[in-house]
Amino acid sequence: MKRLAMLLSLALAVVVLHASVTLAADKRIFRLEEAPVGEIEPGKATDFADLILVSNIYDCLVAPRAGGGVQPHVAESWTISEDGLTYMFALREGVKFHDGSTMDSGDVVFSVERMMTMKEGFFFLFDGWIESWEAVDPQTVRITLAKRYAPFLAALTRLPLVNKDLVMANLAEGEYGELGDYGEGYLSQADGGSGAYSVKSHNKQDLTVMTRFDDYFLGFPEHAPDEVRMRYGLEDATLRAMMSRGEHDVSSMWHSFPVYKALDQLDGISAVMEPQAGGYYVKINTQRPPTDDKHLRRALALALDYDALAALITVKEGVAGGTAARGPIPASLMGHDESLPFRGRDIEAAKAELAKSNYDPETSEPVRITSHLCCDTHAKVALLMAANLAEIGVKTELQEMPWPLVMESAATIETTPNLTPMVQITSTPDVDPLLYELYHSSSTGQWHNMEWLLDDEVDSLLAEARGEMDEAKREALYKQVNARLVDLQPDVFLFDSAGVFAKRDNITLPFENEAKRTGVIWADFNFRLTEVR
Amino acid sequence: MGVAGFILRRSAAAIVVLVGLSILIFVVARIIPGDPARMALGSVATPEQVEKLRNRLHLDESLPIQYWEFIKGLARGDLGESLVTRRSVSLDLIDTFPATLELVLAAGLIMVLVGVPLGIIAARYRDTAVDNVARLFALLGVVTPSFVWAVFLMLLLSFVLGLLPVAGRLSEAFDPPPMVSGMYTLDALIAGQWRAFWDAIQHLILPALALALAGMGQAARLTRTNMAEVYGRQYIEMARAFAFREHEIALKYALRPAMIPTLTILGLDFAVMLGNAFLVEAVFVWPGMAKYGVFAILRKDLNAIVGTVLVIGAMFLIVNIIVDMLTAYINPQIRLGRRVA
Amino acid sequence: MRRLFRSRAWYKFSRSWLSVAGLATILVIALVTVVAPLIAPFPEHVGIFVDFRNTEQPPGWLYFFGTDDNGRDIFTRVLYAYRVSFAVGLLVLAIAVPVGVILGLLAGYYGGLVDTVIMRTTDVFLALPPLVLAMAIMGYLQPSLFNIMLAISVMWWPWYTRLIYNLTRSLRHEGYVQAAKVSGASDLHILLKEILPNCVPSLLTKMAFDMSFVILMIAALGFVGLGMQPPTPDLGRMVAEGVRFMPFDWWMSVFPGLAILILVLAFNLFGDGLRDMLDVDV
Repeated sequence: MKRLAMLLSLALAVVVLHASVTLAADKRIFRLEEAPVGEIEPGKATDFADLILVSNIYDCLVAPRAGGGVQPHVAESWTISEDGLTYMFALREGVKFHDGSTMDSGDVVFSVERMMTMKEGFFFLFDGWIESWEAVDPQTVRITLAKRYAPFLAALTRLPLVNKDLVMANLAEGEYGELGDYGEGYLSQADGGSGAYSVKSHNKQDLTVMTRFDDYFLGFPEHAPDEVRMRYGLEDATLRAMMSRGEHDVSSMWHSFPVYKALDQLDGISAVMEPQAGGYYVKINTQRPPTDDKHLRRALALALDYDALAALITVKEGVAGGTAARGPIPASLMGHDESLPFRGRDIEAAKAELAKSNYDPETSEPVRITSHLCCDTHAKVALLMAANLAEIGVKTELQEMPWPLVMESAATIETTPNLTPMVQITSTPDVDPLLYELYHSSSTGQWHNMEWLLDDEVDSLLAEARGEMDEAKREALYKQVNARLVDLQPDVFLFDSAGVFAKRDNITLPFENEAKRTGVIWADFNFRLTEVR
Repeated sequence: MGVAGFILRRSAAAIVVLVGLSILIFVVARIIPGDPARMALGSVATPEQVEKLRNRLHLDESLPIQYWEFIKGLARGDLGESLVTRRSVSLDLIDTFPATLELVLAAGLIMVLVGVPLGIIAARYRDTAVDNVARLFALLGVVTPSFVWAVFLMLLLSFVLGLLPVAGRLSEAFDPPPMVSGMYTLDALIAGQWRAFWDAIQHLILPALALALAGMGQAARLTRTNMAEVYGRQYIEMARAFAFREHEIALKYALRPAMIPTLTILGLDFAVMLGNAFLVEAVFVWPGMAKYGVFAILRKDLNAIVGTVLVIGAMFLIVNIIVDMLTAYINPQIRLGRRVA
Repeated sequence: MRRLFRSRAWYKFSRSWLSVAGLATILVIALVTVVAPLIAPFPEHVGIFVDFRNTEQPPGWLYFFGTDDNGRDIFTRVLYAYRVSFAVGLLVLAIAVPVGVILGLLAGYYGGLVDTVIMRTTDVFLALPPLVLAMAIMGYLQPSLFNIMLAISVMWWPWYTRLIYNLTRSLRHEGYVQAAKVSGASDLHILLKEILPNCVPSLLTKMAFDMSFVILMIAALGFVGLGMQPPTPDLGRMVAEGVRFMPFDWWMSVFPGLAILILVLAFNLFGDGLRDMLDVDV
């Protein structure tokens, strides 16, 4: 028996000793991490993780430009007709897909058609706008719109171009008649793109490995990674242990702030910040009592201790999960109003607003605050909100929900909670999707529109701004929307959003350099522009 | 009754249980309110998309019809589509099952190889300091939640001492070995990739240990109790009187009868480990079925929950049949087939 | 009371000081949970309360167990979390034991079809690791005290059915049961007056052990995020949240972890003592 015990302890000792010898790889590897599932099917990608994957594996006609707006990408140039309805795109020559074939207008047209037929993912950006599409010649594509649509070019950054021949060769049985599943099954596992990185292996709940595509039409900077490994759903404790051991390079933005603070204090790891084109809001259900009362909503916003929150989300000087907000439209987007004051706490004003409202602590329903389980910060905001409301005599009820239940609760006015903290970032490099998703009546029933604003004036202003091709006039319209929203208070405007990431110091992320920053998270995680030293 | 007949009977009983289990979990999964299609479609979904998915998943049909569709699919090995991964649940399970099996087997191995000797030692040195230390250790194993072990071991062995890797099954320097069993350690051995094998073992140690500790304590306690009871029997005294050597007595005469009740409980411990894998896999980013299951539960992914639960149930039943056979092998006096499922 | 301490049963129980310590710990903790509002230093930290200026304070005289990331006193929250553990544990047993016992008696006594139906049903429930089924059920429900209790009870009763079934089967042929039958006693009488009392020792011992398992399970549910709703304190959740701060701010997870461990250990030791005292095998 003794011998067995000795043998065992010996074996354990050997294993443990050997473990400390790690293998050095000669490749430049970039390891990052995102929320629980990664989707690489370009038509279905919607969440952050998906967008980071798809935007590195696929190309679009245009790409987000550093500092805002769009720039030419696969489309070298374009012309827009007088009436703003017809777009002619001239394609770049020699763009290669990962299988070596060359992209032409047929692939572009196929990709547009696929999006419009499958009606999934970002289809809503094009729904009702794109009327027809055709290949004029192998290098020219014409897209015709039904109505003028100012944010159209920005929306095109969400229309990935797929390899037509590859998809057609890999159709499986499906609901699209002759086109079977439209390659959905194939593209969920393999890649049909032309992007800077190609998929080597993909397990959507664990790990995606991508390698550099050497024939990429833009080439590679000197320090670009050879291999990118994206993991999904790392727990806080696991991430910390992995990063401190050098098993991992860059965190996601979904961890709790104490984790970033602790990581930042370790040698070789620092926290960095990515200002984003979006906001951190507490969504207020404006139709469900008691928050259907404008004065109560204002009282909520005035009662909140913004300084305590700022302390909470600050990792160190110059790195925080947000910057002070003046209203719904963040500083980097069109319509932001510099003249408005920053949001701040004023208990007396809060009490005065409360007195104007119909809220009665005896008879009114408690204010239901829901936070979704993804991120500890939401729970803290919810708790602080509840504590601050208690100070002015408003009763609350806290609840936590996993993401699917949050989405489901948003389906009707009755099930949507009174308050929900949420970070929301524009889907394209334009303010239009952000405001439409948040406030337009046509977006109700979705998680991003838990405000149920249903305001005719906001609706018509937003619709008008979409059709306005003149930049200055368009901006004036958004300023009007901004003012109206500040008055209606459909959200507590906590911060202009920013992502905080912990990274190992041998990695430089594109957004660390302001000249390369787009403020669109998936474009800011451009692997090609990431430096690994 | 022969062995074949025994296995046949037990398997038939097991299938009945599995059918019951499928009904149970299916009903639980469907009667509780909530629209899985709405939730599965993710952040942006139009009502038409929701309707499309509901139709595809037969969610608008009555419960018995839904179950019938499910059974029809099951017969083809089709567990339906996962609402989260949008892939066939069977494929997801085939992908994730070997990782969990590998983990649980390794944990089981540790549990038996460490727990049983610990119990034997404790019984042999009954009521001495050795016994007390062994018992205390065993008790700690039982009362400490496995997730506490997981976190503690990770912090100690990886974070503080830096000895073992934290997460995953293999370092990035290695590609997974050619697929044979899906268990990286075994496959690496088969392929003769020694370094990959070593790397996989290192990744396996922490989660397996975290998983094994609870069962290990239980195994040690039981072995001790049962051995102690056997030690009290007359034939051991007799053996002592004949001056048999102590370790011979322990292994030859005391262990065998003591193993029977222990084995039965080990079967149960295996179930506990399968459950605890749900807590441990997430901590170590072990891409197994249990992690998949937790995720499915948190995401209300109906088909995936049903699939995971069925596979776990089947695994559990198989282990119990094996335990029964082992018991019968160790003690031929126990008539095969006398025990009920 | 004096009679209890002089009894033979107590003598057997107290032979192991560990069992006595277990019982004493349980009694102390139970008492503490009852008077928690009186002795907790910061009862307001259990409700809606946040103080970001006082976060992550190490243990000291003001905060015995330190404060958490919301600036709340961990000691206070552990005291209140024990209430939840006890409440759920007792409620689960209050549901699972009667249901399990009744079904076990029926199946064991009547045999035949009743036996088959009931025992095959328990097989189905027992074919799953308890945690998995509880998690699956909790996954569908809103986390609340009642639902956690419900989810755990649903999978707990079969263990009692099994236990009582086996006991009943062996007791049913005992002389005194047969005698009662011959003398014309009703089935109800036999089950309740002859068989059930003989099951009590095993039942009590199993309940003592099960309290510890139920507490572990509540902690596990809390750990994966299927536990109590905040701000209600939940030990498993406190461990899960505290783990983020390891190893530096260790007190946030270590104290709640120890709290689980101590209570579970106490019930285990108490169970051991009961088993020796009542001389049963469960």
